Formats: sequence, structure tokens, C-alpha cells
Amino acid sequence: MNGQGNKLPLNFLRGDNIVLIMALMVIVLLFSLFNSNYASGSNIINILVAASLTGLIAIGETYLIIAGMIDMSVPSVAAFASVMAAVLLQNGFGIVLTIVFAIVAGLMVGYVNALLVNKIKLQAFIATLATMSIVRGFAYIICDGKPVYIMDSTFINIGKEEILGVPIPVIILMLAFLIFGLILAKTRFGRNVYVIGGNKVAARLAGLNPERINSVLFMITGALSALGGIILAARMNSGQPASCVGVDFDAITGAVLGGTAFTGGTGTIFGTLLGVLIMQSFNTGLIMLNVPIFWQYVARGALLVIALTFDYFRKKNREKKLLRESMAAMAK
Amino acid sequence: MKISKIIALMLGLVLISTMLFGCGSNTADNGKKKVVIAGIYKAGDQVWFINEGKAAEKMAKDMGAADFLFIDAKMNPDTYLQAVDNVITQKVDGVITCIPDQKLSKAITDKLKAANIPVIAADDALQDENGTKLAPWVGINAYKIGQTNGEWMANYAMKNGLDKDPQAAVLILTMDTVSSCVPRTDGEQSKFKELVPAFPDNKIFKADYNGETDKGFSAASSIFIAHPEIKKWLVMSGNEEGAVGAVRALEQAGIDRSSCVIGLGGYLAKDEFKKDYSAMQAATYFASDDVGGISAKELMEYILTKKEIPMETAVDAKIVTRENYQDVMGEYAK
Repeated sequence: MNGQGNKLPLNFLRGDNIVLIMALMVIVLLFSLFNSNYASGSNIINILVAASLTGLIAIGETYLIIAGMIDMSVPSVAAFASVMAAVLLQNGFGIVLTIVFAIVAGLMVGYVNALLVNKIKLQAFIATLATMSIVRGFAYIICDGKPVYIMDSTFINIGKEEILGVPIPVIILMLAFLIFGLILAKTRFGRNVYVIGGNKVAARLAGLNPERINSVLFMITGALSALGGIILAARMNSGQPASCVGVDFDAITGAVLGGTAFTGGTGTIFGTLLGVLIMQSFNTGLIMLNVPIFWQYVARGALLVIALTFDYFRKKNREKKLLRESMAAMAK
Repeated sequence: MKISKIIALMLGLVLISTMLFGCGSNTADNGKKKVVIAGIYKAGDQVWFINEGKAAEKMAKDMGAADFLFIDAKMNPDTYLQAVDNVITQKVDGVITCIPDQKLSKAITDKLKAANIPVIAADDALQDENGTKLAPWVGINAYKIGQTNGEWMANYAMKNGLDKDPQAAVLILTMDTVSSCVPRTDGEQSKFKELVPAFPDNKIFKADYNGETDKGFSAASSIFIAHPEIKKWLVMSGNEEGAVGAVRALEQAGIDRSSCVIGLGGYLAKDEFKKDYSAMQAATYFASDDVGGISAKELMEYILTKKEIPMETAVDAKIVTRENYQDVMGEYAK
């Protein structure tokens, strides 16, 4: 188990995170050498806005991966929430009700995912693949397959207005990272997430209820995906049933880049934030430098290989450290 | 009853009802063979193909077809091949198709010919490497669609003095991973350069996206930020979604009032035209019902009467703007 950060109020400058911060700085420096506008304020905002959907989903995926699970339904939930919001607005619902209904829809999908995992004992990957297809289907059904335009200017402002020069989607993203980062690092619930990801049997013996924690995690992920979809709809002025394809891959890549281990029990929300920023900064840099699209695929894949290699060595170091500590304890 | 049993029961009911509604015999109650048409479209989840499929289904059923199978190939050549094998197994009477990769044309036409199933290509032709059509085709030449866009944008640039303006540049949002969309952006660029030959090559930028609005937004936004010296962008794209993404990116950059975007399809542009202002000032419109309806009509006539299908049936593409879109698009403008 790793990553709780209990010793300091905000213990995010751990060894792994320092490496990630340095990696982010290298990316910014490297791309800035080729294009001086890369490090500009407007590009930083652009990167953060572009990361708003992936970032929100990555928070949920981080929680789930730490607990030893995964959610593949997130792109469909985001697309469904975006269309649902647009349809509700078109039918005269107020903004607050629209947002509440769309988020509740995300929560419900999360609850169904949890039921399939907890009660029918399906693997999370398989269960959420099934709901991914079902929810995507409903996204098409409620709008007859056609994008639904949003004319409500107040709702659209959620996607483009700024507070002190920072766009609202970025503020929401940062607040989400802060809140869920603190929950994971500072609360008993957060510690329990690490425990069930580290060893489910031991967690049960310790009196924890993994099923209940699973349910909460899937519902959090569903709600965050729906929130991401709502923001996307506001940014694009429309709900689009075919949108968000592949955002699960980006979110999981961001989490893994940020140090969340697929084996469970390890990871931090701050690491995921860094992972998502590294990925988005890298993608934006490739576009700004006009790198041909086929080479962009190669570069993104290479970035993931580097991250997984880094994760492998990190895991080996952890095992060595644990072994040393065990030996030392036995010697005493 | 336990919740797990309820869920299992519900899933079972869904499966059974899907099978009951989805399956059927190809023989009518009176013993006469029912005509079944399959429409296999490269992106059945996009508005264009949804409308095209509906129009084809309506026409086929109006002409007596018992069923129309709408199949989405999800832009995936492998899924597409499986769909073709599937309809051959089902012994459908005819296939209307828009192929995700034209390099598969020969393999597909050979398979269907061997199964004795007539095929008609919609939108993107089934053709060999020399461009020779291997099956009848209905649609608009993708390259010509692009040229129509390029021509409109070139005229817009010259009319507004942007062809000589140092603050003006062209952005083409390409979809290079979707082979059938490549000719669109190639046509846009070649026609623009043909009509405005003096426009500097280093002011024609390209950025790739996957066909989604959000990805179009990110691609366009990155280019706008990389070139803050450009205040007047002329944007063309591989599809309508990308064009809308560029409009949103221009708005975020605060240069939408000095820039111009042209859409491709018109199905999203119509909503942009309803706003007080949008940087999307025009779109190339071609009616998906025309392509869907004509393709089904020609195929049904062949099946029912053996009337030869013409090798090429071109559908007109028109430029729609804020001023004329309601007249040109009719009910699709709503």
C-alpha cells in the first residue's frame, strides 16, 4: 500500500511525483524551444480546458484502479450525460435540474456497474464493457442519433466564462482534484480504498466491506463522467451521442502515467493530475509542432511504454524496500 | 427474490426480446420470398449515415422490401468485413454500402459477386487503385465536395482582401486516419491554391483530428495559440463536427468575428446559422436522403425488374449560408 501521504498535510512532493513534475517541465521546455508560444498563459489554459473531461474521468479511474477495478463505461456515460443535458434544456428544464438529473444518471449507471460486480460477480472490466454498450445505445436513442444543440446562454457560459481569468471547466477540474485528492489521502474511506486494492481478503478480515466501497467508487466515477459530459456539452454548445470515444483510454493512461499501479493498492490523485497534464501537454505540443498524425500515434505509444517501464522499476523498488523492512523486522 | 436474480432475469428478458425482434425468416407467410436489403455504412452513428440509412429504408420499404438491415461498421475495416460476411450468410437480396477503406473494394465486390448479391456504393465508391469503379455508385465525389469548399473559401478570401492580408492564414482540419475523408481535405487545399495561387504555402496549416467536435476543438485551438500573429483564420475541415470544433476554438481565442469557417454537410451548420453570430458562415450541403433514397431505388429496381443500375449517379452539392439555408435544406433546416 502506498500513496496515502499521512505524514504531511499535503505530502505530494514525494519521490515519484518529483520525477513526474520534472518530466512535465522537460516536456514544456522541449516544446517551448520549438514554439515560443507553447509556454504562454493562453496555451496553459488551453491544455487545462482540453484536459477537463479526461481529468474528471481520470479521478474516478484512479480510485477504481487503486481498489483493483476499472470502468470502461465512462465514455458512454459522459456522452449520455451531454445528450441528456441538451435534451432536458431543449425541453425547458432549468439549468440546476438539468445538471442534477444528468449527474444522477451517471450515479445510477455507476450503481448498476457495482451491482453487476458485487452481486453477479462479473469482472469490472467485463461488466462495464456491457454497460458501455447499453448506455451508448441510450445516448443515441434519446436524441435519435442526432446532436442536440444548446441555445441556453447561461448553460453555455459554464463552458466558456472565466473567473479571475481561469475558465470555469478548469476551476471545476481543479476543485475535483483537490476534493478527491484529500478524500483519498486524508480520510478513512480513502485508506480503505488502498486496503481493498492491496488485499481484498485481508480487508474483509479487517472488518471492511469491499462491496460497499466498490459501489461508492463506481458511483463516484459515474457522477464524475457525467459532470465531464455536462461540461463538454457546455463547451461545444451541443450534446453529441458519438462523442468521448477513447476518453477511457486517455484517462487510464493518465492515471498509470501518474503512478497508479494496475495491480491495485498504489496511486495518488496528485500523481494522476500530473499524468493527465503530461499527456495533454504532450498531445498539444505534437499538434503545435505540426507532427504528422501517424507519428503522433507512435509518440503517444512510446510515452505509455516509458510510463509502464517506469512503473515496473518503481514496483521492483517497492518490493525490495518491503523485503528489506521485513528482514530488518525479523532480525529484531 | 435476490437482486442478483432480478438482474439475471432482466438481462435474460432483454436477450430474448432482442432475438425475437431481431431475427426472422426470409420467407413471407404466403410463401413468396421477402426482399431484404442490407445497408452497411462506415459510420452508422453519425448523423449523415443515420439520415441516409433512414431514407434508404423508407424507399426500399415503399418499393416492397420486407426488411432493411442497417449495419454500423464503426469506421473499422475488420467490423466491415464481418458485416459483409454476415449479410452473405443471411442471403440478403442486395447491399447498399459506404466502405470505411476503399482499398477493400476489390475484396468486397468479389465476395458479393461470388454470393450473387448485387451491391451499390453510396457516398464513397467501390473502386480499384486506378479509380475505376467496381460497382455502381451514388453520391458526391469526396474530392469534388472538398473542391466546392475550397472554391467558396478562396472566393471569400479574395472578396474580403484576406488573400493578401499578412494577418490571415488557412487551417485545414484533416482526418488522415480515415481514408475516405482524405480526398475531401485534399480537394479543399488544391482548389484553394488553384484559385489563390499567390497565397503563401507557409500560411496554410494542417491539424489532424478523429472526426469528433472535441478533438477538432483541441487541434484547432493548439494551432491558433501556436500562431498568435494570425488574427483572421480561414478554416476548412474533413467533416461538419470538426468545423464546429474550430468555431468553438475561435470563440475561445476571441478571434471568431474576424475569422471564417466552412462546414461540410450542413447538418450542424444549420444550428450555427440560427445564432446571432457564428464564425461558421457557410457549409457545403448535400442531402443524405438523396443519396440514401436513390441508392435504394436503383437497387430495388434491379432486384425487382433487373433494370440495369447506372455506374455513376451524382447528387448535387450546394453551398448554404445564413441567408439561404432554410430554402435549400427545407425540413432539414429545422
